[in-house]
Amino acid sequence: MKVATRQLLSLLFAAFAVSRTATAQNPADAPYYQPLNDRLPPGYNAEILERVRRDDAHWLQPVRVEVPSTAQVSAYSAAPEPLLTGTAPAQFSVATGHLYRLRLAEMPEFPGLELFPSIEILDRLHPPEGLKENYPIPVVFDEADLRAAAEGLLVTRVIYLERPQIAASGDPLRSERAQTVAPGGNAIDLAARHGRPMIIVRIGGRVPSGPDSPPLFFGTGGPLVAGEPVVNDAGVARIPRRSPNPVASFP
Amino acid sequence: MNDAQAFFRRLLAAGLAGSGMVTIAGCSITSALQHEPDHVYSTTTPQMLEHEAGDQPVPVPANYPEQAGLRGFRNSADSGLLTLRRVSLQDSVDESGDEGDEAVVRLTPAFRGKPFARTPAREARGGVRPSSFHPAEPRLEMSPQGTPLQRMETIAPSATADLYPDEYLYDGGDREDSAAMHARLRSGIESEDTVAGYVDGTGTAKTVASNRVAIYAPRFGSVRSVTGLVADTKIDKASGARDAITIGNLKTGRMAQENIAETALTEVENHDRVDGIISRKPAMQSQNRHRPVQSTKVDEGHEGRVASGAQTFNRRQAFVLAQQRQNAEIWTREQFPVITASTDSASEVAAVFKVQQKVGLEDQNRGGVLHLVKLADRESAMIGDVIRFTIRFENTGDLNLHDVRIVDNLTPRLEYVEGSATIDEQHPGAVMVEPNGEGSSVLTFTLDGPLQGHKTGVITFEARVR
Repeated sequence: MKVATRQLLSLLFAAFAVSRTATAQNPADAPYYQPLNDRLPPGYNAEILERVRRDDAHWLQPVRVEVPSTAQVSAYSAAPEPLLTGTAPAQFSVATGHLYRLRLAEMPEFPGLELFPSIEILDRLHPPEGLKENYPIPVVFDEADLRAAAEGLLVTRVIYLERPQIAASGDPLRSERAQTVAPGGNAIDLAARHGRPMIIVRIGGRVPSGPDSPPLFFGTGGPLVAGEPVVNDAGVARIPRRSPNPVASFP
Repeated sequence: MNDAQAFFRRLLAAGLAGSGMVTIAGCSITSALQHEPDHVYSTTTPQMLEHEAGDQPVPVPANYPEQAGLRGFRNSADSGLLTLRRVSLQDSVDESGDEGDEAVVRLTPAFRGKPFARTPAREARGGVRPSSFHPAEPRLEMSPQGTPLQRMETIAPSATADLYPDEYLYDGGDREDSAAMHARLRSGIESEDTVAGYVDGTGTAKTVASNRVAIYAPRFGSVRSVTGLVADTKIDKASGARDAITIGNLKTGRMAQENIAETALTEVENHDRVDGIISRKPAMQSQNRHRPVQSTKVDEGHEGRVASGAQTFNRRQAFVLAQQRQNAEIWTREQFPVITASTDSASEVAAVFKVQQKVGLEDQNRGGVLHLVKLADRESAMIGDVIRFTIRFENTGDLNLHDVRIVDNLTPRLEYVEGSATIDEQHPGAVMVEPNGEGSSVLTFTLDGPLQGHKTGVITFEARVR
């Protein structure tokens, strides 16, 4: 009898705990529960969304890397050798659900500085036919980001697609309206309130430890191709395709 | 660990995983897949409305004599309206000097709009305007009588516009709250809406909405977070507050344990007067202690069953007594014969039919109905591009329409280009530009005279993408 009672109480406790877990946040503060968080390990959020949505695996989303002036941009995917190397602003295509590693170097504002930011692709666009390359997702590094990373801080940017109905009159991405969350806050949650989170950009002081660096440091192995010719925007440069000896592109 | 504990652990893990998946699938990020389109989608050139020869609209550019205060000002001498000056079409073409541009709006073979002027920002980027793009016209769903039905339709460059509306700029239609215009009052006109109010031949005020135009123009923002060497440190409250949320939710006070909420640890002093009166609340008044050990629910259930039995016993007793008393009354009643007599009186109805004649005139004209069609001269845009919108209004009925007003509330990402409004010379009117409270403008076009039956007019204006 005691065993049966204990099992019944355990079952009730489990049902109660499960029902409370989904709404463990304070209901007065959050009208819905945001399961994603930018503080999760890199690649975790993109993998979760990819399992839920199951987007077209053959679709590659163009992204464009922008820096204050110019820089040498290299892109990695699960290998210590860069697949692409070019000059910023640079455009290439990546797959959703994957993590990629970049390398920024030869920046005039920061001589000798070498940074290895990561980009985590959460979502994609759905442009009309023929306009795919004209609308890349911008990955913008401003001078404050680069300076903070050089000082040893970790800067996380959640780039989101803005909802037009609640859009601001100014461009919210290029330093016209700074949106910064408090330490410990969920940047994805705030981004989801303004639109659709697309990319998580992390830039800090981590550098590869040499040839023995773990492959996951350079990404999760998603496809990476160079950008197509850009028609509408002359301010975007092309990244040449992978050279036979890509390591030679390093200074 | 015995079997019961192992079973409980497996059950808890499965429940947590399932709850997490359900929550993820229901979050806002993935809700687009379950969206069902509520508009008709069109990209090809559909049927055209028939126009009589010689009634083709001819646009003339608006000339604002007071350019400096165009946005949001009112001309007090003209009841807050700006009158458009009639200018010939040839003048506008000569001013632009760009007749070779291929991006000319072609609504009808006889319609020729003002050539599009490239913006300096676009020239700086070396942008090329799409040369072969012609705006599609919406298909008009016709009634059996041959009149177009008022139904909101979306013109979009892709069928995914309704699935992913956050990637598009919309203008036109009636977005959420139903718009209503009556006399000088209007309600429910939100950003993106394009509606018209008028009074038909019967004196009834009516409001119609145009179709929607979707332009692919995604814009991005970012949320920034900077983390130092000491990670996971959260200081975002003044003092004395601590959030502790665990998996079992044991510290939220919802379990069967003592829950203590202490809102004032010390005495609270409130100085709320200048004369220094101090009210003190001791700490003991601010403590609430709930002890669910009392198990009040079980006791209440037991008491309820006892009371229910007592009520059943009482009702049965009352029923027996009432039946016995009724029987006694029947036994002591004396029976008397009753005779009832009634008289039916005869009645007579007299009717006199008079010959009358009803003289009238049957009006077989169809009442006036206003139909709005909205077009854009491009299907995609970037920040800084200028979009030329065209609003064609047509009275598809026979009777005149009065007090025709067309309102276009621009979305926050569209900035009205001052002085760009035009109207065809057959339907002169006025335009008023006001801020819409969301960072953009609301345009109100008012026709000076009535819109006759089967007449068509065109309004154009330009807006810059922000």
